[in-house]
Amino acid sequence: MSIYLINVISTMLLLYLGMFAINLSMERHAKQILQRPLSPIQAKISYALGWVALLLAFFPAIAAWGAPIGITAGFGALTLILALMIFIQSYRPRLNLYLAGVSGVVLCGLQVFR
Amino acid sequence: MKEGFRQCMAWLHTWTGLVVGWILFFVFLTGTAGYVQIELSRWMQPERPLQQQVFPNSTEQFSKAYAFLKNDPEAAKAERWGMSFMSEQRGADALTVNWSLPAAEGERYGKYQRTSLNPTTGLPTEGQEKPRETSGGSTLYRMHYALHYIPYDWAIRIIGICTMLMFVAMISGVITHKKIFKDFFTFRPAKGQRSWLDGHVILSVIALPFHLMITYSGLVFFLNAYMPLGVPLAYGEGEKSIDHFYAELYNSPTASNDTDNAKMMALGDESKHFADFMPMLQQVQQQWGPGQIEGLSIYPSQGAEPAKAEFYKYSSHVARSYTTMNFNLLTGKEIVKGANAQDTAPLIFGSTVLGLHVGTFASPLVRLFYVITGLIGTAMVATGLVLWTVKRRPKQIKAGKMLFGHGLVERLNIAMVAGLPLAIAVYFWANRLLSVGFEGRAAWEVHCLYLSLLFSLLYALCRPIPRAWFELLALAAVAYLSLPILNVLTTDRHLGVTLLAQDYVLASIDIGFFMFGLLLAWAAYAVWRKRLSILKPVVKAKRVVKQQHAVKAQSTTQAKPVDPTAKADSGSDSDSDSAIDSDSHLASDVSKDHRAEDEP
Repeated sequence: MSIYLINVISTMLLLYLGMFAINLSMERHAKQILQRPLSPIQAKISYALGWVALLLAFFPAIAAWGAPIGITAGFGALTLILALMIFIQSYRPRLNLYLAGVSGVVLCGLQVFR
Repeated sequence: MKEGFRQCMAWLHTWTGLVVGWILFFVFLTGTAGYVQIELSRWMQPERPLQQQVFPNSTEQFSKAYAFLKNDPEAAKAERWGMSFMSEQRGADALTVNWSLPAAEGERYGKYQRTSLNPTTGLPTEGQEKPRETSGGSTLYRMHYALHYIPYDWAIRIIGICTMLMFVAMISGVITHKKIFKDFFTFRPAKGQRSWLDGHVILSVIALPFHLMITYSGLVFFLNAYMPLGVPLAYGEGEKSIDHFYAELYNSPTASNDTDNAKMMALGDESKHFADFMPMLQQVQQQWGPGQIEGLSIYPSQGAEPAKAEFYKYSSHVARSYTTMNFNLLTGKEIVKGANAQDTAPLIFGSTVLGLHVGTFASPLVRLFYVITGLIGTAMVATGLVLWTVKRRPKQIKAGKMLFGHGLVERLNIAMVAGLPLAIAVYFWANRLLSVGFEGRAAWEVHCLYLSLLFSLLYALCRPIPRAWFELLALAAVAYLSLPILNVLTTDRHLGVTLLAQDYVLASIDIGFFMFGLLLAWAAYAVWRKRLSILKPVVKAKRVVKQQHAVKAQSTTQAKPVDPTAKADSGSDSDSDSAIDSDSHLASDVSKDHRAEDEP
C-alpha cells in the first residue's frame, strides 16, 4: 500500500474520530449514541481529545500533499466527513459509535504498514 | 431594523441573503461546474481521443511544433509563438501551437491564433476529425463571473456586488448563530421550519472555511475593477500609468526602459538566427524531471532585449503562478533571474488566494472535494432561500392570502433552484442533440440553457407551488439520469467504452450526472411526499409567544393530511385558502407534539 494512500486514509479517519469525540461531548448526542449522557468531566475530555485528533489529522494530510495543498485538502475532507457524520447522527446515531470503533482499529492497523 | 446586535445581524443576514440569493445560487452552481470544466469540455466533444497512456517525448513534440511554426506563413509574422505539449497531465490531451500577431494600428492587442497538431505527423489535426463545435465547460465557468448576454464590465460589477453581499451575509450569519459548535451536529428531520434551519446551518458551517475562502478570493479576482480608483491614485491616470503599475507588480523588465517604440522583428525572420533548442530542452528536463514541461513561449528581440524562450513547468503548488526557465535564443544560454526578480509579496498572496479559488492544483481526489463542497455551497444558498419562504408561509396562510412579494419569492425560488439544474441538463442535452454541422451550435447550446431557465420561470409562475417544485425537480432528475443513456445512443464515448479504456476522468462525468440526478430525484420525492401539506396551516401561535425561536412548522410528518381531497394543487393562491380551512383542526395537536420534542 502506498504511503500516500495511508496518509490520505489516516487523515480521513482522524478527522472522523475527532469530530466523533466532539460530537460525543454534547449531552443530547451522547444520549442518542450511548443511551446515557457523559459526565461533565468525561465530556470535557472527549471534547479535548476531539480537538487533538483534528489537529493530528493535518499531519498525514501535509505528508500526503505538502503543506499548502494538504491544509486545503484537509478542510475539504473535514467538510465531507462532517456531512457524513451528521447524516448518520440524524438517522442512525448508534451507527456512529460502531463506525468510530472501526475507524480507530483501522487507523492503528494502517500505521503498521508505514 | 430590530433591537439588539444579534437581531440586527439576523435581519441583515435574512435580507442580504434574499436580495442576492438567486444570483448566488447561479454563481455557485455554474462555478462548481467550472471545477470540472476541462472534463466537461471533453465530454462535450466526444470526437476527441480517449486519455492516452503513451506520449511522444517533449523533444519530438517540440520539433514537430517548431517546424510547423517556422513554415506557417501567418505564424512567421507573429510577435510571439507558443506551444503546449501533450502529456498525462490534466487538460494536456493535445499538442497545440499558438501565435500572436502584432497589434494592428489603434488596437491594444494583436490577433491570437491556435491550432492543434498531430504529434506523430506534425500536421494540423483540423479538417481530419475536427471535434464538434461546443460552448463546453468553459462557458459554464465563465458564466459564474461574467454571466451571459450582458457586457462583461457590467457583469463583473453585478457579480461583485452580489459577492460582497454574500460576504456580509456570511459574517452576519456567523454572528447570528451563537452556538456554532453545539448546533452544527444537530439535524432534526421532518420538523418543518426547524429542519430547514438545521439544514441551512449545517451546510453553512461544515464548509465554512470553503465558503469564506471562495467568497473572499472571488472579490480579489477583480480587485482593480471593484476598487477602480486605487491604482490611478497611486500611479496616475492613463493607460501608461496602469501599465506601469502592472510592470511593477509583476516585476517585469519593461517597467523602466521604453521598449514600446523599439522595432520588433517578425519571428519567422529571426528564427533563422536562433541557437539550437535541443541543449536547452535537455537542460530544462534535467532540472525539472521528465514530462514536466507544460509548454513554452518564444519572443523575438525587442530593442536591447534579446530574443528569448520561456519554458513553463506544470504547476504543482497552490499559487496561481508559473515556474519558468528563460533562455537567450541568440546564444542559447539560460537567463538567470536576478535576486530582485522574486515575486513581490502582494503578488504571492494574491496568486495564492486566486489559486485556492480556481483549484487548478487539485489532484482528482482533491478536485472531488472541491466539487462536493461547491455543491454544499449551492445547497446552502438554496436552503437559505427556501427557509425564507418556509418561515413566512404560516403568516401568509393565516392571513388567507399570499402577498404578491411572498408569492414572487416562492416562484423565483422554484425557477432558480429547480430550474437552473434543469437548464444546465438541457445544455448538455443540446450538445448531444443539435446536429453536428449546425451553424452556430455552440451559441445555441447556451441559448437552450437560458430558454429552459425562462421556461422554468414561466412554469413556476403558472403552476401551483408544490406542483411546480415537484414537476421541475422531477424533470431535472430525469434529464440528468438519462444523460448517460443519451450518451450511449448518440456517441461512442459512453460508460461502456470509457470504463473499459480506463479513462476514469471521462467516465466520472457520466457517473457524476447520474449521481446528481439521484440527488434531484430524492429532492423531488421529498417534495412529492409533502405535496399535500406544503401549503397547509400551521402550529398555533401559543408557542411563538413563549419561545422566540419556536417552530412554526407548517409541514411535518405528524401533520398527516387527513383530508386527501384538499387539493393543494389546483390553483395556487385561492387554493391555499381552502387548504387552511380544511386542515386547521390539526394545528393544536401538532403544537403539542412539538413542545415535547423541540427541546434544543
